[in-house]
Amino acid sequence: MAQPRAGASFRKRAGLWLISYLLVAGLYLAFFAYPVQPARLEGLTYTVDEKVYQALPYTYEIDYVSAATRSVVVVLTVRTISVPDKAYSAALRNAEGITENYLRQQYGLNVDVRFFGASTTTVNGHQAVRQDYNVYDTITGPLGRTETIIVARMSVVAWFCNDNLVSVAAGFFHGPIVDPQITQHLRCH
Amino acid sequence: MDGAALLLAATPVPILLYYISMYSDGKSVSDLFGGISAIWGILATFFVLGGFPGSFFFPVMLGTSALGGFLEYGRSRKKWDILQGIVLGLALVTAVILLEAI
Repeated sequence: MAQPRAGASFRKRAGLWLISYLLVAGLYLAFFAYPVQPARLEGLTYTVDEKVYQALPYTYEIDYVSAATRSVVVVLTVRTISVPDKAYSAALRNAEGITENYLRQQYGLNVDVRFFGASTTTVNGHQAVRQDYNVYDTITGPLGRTETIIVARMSVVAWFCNDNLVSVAAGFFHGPIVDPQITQHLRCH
Repeated sequence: MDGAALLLAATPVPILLYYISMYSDGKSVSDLFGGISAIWGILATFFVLGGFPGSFFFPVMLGTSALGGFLEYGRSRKKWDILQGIVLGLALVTAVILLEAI
């Protein structure tokens, strides 16, 4: 902190302090804008679509779509410093609303995404936070009776890859019967 | 190690240079501890790359600088030094509470 001393004038101290912290801010900016080596799914047959999602913090998105298993996997790799698991859990809880809105806006599906449970899992040697959701739809049967059934399941995982300083968030959306065991195929880079 | 790791490790370097400059001028304990805190910031990046939990990074930095302020106050009795210790100490407590509360 800038403070008056016999050795250095207040003006000199304050000026150097300001320049130092501006440089620190610039270095952090450069760090968060530095391109990532994206996390990937390996060993599964999917149609892949990838893009830079945003420049700051640098975020890379890869979408994997499998028509055969009717499943979609979205992998986001974000340049971050180390983040505690609690922060990942809090961020992942937004998946519920984001998915509902996305399905309503993109496909006109009036589904209900409900939180099912949270756990920890291991992905590529890293401890990851996992949350599972069920996707419900209300349908009218042939006899005119309405039923709420599970039409899909969604799981989201997030973890910090310490070896390349990125956070990875992966969401997989699949039919209620198919379980693609995605976590075994995710790699940090 | 990629460029991002080097950039992150470099972030405390301007602060380290600042404290080296100030310490050479005034030989104050708070500048010495500020420099130690910056060195910790540089080393912490390599610890994190090696698998060390990153949650220690900011609390140790803040704690070291706060301690420097309190120790310097014990020597100089200047209000600036106790203020540095209190402000950084409060920042440390806030950081720890936030980490727990998220």
